[in-house]
Amino acid sequence: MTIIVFLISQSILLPLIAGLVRLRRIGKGYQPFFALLVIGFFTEILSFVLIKGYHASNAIPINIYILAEWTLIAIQFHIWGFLKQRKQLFYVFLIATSLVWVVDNLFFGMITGFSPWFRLFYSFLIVLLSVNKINYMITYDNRNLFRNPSFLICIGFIIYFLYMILYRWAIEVSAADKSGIGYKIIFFIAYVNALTNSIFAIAFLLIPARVKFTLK
Amino acid sequence: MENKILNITILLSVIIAVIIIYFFVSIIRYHRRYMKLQRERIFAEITIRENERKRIAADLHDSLGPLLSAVKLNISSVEIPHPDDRLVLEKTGKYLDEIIGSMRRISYDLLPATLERQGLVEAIREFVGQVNLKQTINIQLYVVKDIRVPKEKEIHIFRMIQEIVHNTIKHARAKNLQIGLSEEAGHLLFLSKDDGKGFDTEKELGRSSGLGLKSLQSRCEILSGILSLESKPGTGTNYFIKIPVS
Repeated sequence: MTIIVFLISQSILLPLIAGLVRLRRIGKGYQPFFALLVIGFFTEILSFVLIKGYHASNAIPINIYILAEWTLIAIQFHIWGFLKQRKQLFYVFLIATSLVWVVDNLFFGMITGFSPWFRLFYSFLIVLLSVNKINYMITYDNRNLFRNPSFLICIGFIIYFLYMILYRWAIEVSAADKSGIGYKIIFFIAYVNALTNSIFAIAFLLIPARVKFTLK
Repeated sequence: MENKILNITILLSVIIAVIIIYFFVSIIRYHRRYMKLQRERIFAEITIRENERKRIAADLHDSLGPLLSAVKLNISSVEIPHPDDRLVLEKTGKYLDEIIGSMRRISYDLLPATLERQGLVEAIREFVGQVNLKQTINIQLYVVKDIRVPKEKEIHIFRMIQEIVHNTIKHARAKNLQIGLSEEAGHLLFLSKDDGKGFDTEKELGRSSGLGLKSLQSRCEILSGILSLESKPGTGTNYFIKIPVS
């Protein structure tokens, strides 16, 4: 059981290794997503060091990480077409949504804790952006969607962030009943995380090679 | 504590409901955009084809036609004493007449000059008159009101009527065809009724080879119109078309 838990906790290595293998193929189209995985990996290490080495809370790095996560995912969707023709509106959108983090973490001083509000808010937005992208691909893309990296990444986002919304609910519920459904949902997040990381790894492996055009 | 759990459960339900609603709204929105794009594509393709036909028809009618007439005139003006040579020249003149006739027919099929010069109703009248002369079918045309159609829509409506008449001649084995045209509340109304053998509409529309009916549907779709087809084996065929023209 311990080995399984340990392996599951290291599942972020799957997309990271796949991304490194396909590093030359990753063009501008997937750079923010790859950067997100790298930052996620280093945040995991930092959290481990803080908790095990210094017996300190990892709240601050995690809170900063979620802002970076939201920013990078929003930029990723922007690259994929979200508000692509309206750059200024996108920046306004990004700043406005990041202000929720500022208010939650700095204004209300929640940076040393684990406030659910920004987490709920950006998870909700990511699910909507993913749904929008998937629907766009269903309508306009004639190729096999299950071999399309963006489609798989969006599926991964929907699974993970929808579960994150449920997870936030479970945390509140489990405070009242430690052995109930809420506790099981919290425990199950590691498996959901492993599943989405596996989907992301497959998505990286499916990124097509860049076509080089030459006049020679 | 229970209230807090209830509140957060309600919040969770609302979030999931919004996501599901957004899913449907988003897919419907994209589907509509896609359909609009498809219509624009078909419209562009048909317009390109019609413009190409127009150019070829104009070239045949305005360049080749006068040239051939000039050749005919020159040949007729030549004095030939020998009767055998005169016969050859007369034959050549007849061939030239046939060529000019065929060329005019091809030019008309590509694009009737009347449509460009006198509008849709006159072009339909001319077309019906020609069919009545050449075919055994009797076509009666009723134009109830003065009809004004935007220039860019005229060719599509004319082609649809041409297609319906051709279908009736080719497949229906009808003796009579009645065509009615009217305009009501900014819509062109077209109604046709034949006494032919009729057909199973669902079967014909489902067939991939039925290009004529598909072309009718495509043209009707790009004009944002309604096409209704009523037919049963042995009962003749009725077409009803309603196209916005204001």
